[in-house]
Amino acid sequence: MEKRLPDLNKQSPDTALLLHIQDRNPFAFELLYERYRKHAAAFAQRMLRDDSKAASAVKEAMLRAAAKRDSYRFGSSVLTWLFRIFYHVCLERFPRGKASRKPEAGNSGEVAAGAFDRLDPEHRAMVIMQKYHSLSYNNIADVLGRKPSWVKWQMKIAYDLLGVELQRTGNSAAGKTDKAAPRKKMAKRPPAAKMGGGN
Amino acid sequence: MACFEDQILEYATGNLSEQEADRVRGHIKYCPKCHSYYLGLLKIEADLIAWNVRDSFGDDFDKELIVACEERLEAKEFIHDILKPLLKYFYLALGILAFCALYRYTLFNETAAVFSRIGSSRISLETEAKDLELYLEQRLIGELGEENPNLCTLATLEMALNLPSGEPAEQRIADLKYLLNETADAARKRFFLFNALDGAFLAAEDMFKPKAAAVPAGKPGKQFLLAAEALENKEWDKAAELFKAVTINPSSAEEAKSATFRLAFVLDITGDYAGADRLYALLPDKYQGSVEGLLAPEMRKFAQARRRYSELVEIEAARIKKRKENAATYYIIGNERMLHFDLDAAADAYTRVILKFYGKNKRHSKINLAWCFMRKGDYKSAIDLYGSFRLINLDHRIYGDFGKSLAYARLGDTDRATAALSWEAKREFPGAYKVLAENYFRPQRSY
Repeated sequence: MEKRLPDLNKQSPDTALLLHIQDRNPFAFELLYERYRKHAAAFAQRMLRDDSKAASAVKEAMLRAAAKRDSYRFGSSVLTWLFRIFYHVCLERFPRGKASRKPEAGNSGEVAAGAFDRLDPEHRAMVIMQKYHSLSYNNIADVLGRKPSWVKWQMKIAYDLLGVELQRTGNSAAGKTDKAAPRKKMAKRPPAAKMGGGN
Repeated sequence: MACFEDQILEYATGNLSEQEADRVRGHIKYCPKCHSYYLGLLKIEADLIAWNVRDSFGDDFDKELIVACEERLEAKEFIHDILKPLLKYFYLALGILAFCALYRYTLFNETAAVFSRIGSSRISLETEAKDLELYLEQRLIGELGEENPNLCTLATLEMALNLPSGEPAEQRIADLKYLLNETADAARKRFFLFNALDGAFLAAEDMFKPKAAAVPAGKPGKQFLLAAEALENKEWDKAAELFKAVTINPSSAEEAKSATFRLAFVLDITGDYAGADRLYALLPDKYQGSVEGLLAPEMRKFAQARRRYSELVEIEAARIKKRKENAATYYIIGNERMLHFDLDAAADAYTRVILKFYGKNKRHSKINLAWCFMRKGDYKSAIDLYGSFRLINLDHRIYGDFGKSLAYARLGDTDRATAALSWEAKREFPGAYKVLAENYFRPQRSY
């Protein structure tokens, strides 16, 4: 018997879109992309800190969402499902080795971006999802495949690390501290953009 | 006051409930350590907020991505589009294979054994026709009582039962079977039984041939013949007594089997359903492969129908007492009476439905009442009633035509019997038409 799908429009709920996508409706996928386009672009840029890699990651993530449409379980959050895909795609493109960028000097946004380079991908993803995409601890735990209590604990550690980095980069930019040794050591490494496995 | 260091981050990022936020806010005011930690977090938050990125990678990128995703959505996937449908057929084939294997090694062997036993026994044509009729009558009453909507099946059975008896036994049996085969689609299982009857009426049945009076007293089989005569005359109590005596002291194994089967039938008719049920249940196991063993489960169904109707009648009788009767009330009572061969009482109940009510029960009551008239030998009333079927619908009309034709045949008016079969009956039911019109209703033939 042919299943009856709900009508489709711009106000359709996420689950209705997913139902249509599982039925291979391209219009539904277009609506889904339209709805989560900004999330995808912002998350990838902040995670990878490289526009070309981010664009490639967004494309790959959306293609993977289209291919793995049946992996979505009705009743769970579509946002969480998408972020799980975004996170794993970014993780595959994440620069290997330790952070190698120079701390950035400039406005506070650039300082924050520079401080992010010192965080590992999991901490970085947690802070980004919490700060810029308003995901709850439970949702973040769902994306990362961890327990909420673990996320809460690690979030504190991530903020502590960020605080230390921001303070150091801020001071460094102002020339008030002499911590050149680790920076010199880092500068010897090739730039992260060249090491990454991005396509 | 204990520090809330763990909760300050959640407070700063707005992840606390109102009540908890108030508590933490109060604490921060007085705790310099937490206050300083909170200020540090606010500084981080301010830095993070200032980090802006692009909202999108441009319209061209979006268009390209949408096109790629659409292609991906429409692309054939091995698991989804090829493997899964194939798996469905694979499971189906596996199921069929499993069934075949099961049949080959269990049911098939059993069926083959039954056929082997049946094939080795002998048959008497006369008794075969008699028992076919007995079975047919039971089945017809059952189907009438169950309001069978397939009137063609009903008409075939009616005709099979009413075939004029003047024909040679071989011809009559052949025609009976021909008509029964017409209902094979609705009754595959019954067809198997008729095949069984074909090959297997046993020596005890031959005892019907000589009349009981011709057998001297004290001879083996005399009591059985007397019981069989009582059964033919519908003297239920006498038949029950005699068959009981035969089952206690049978002259042969065949006699014991036949007496048990007939005793079950008599108990069933007289309302001892529990006794009948026990005997019907016993026969298939004790006399596996015999005709009685095969017929017993079928007859048990009729017994169960009678039992069910008896229970319903009690309920309906209570409704009549309270003057809450309706068409179904009298229809159920009519069916119950018909199942017990109390044709007058059944006819009375059906007449009440026809005169007082309208609807489905009225239509069914007409069919059953006409059947009662036929059984009672009131063929003229049956013809009148069958004539009124023309107003209902095509199925009823055809059934009515065959009924009317049979009633005329019973009255010996073969011309009218042939004329009563309309072109609709011929078109819808060519096999039955051929048997009746060509073999029995030709004016030059007499029976």
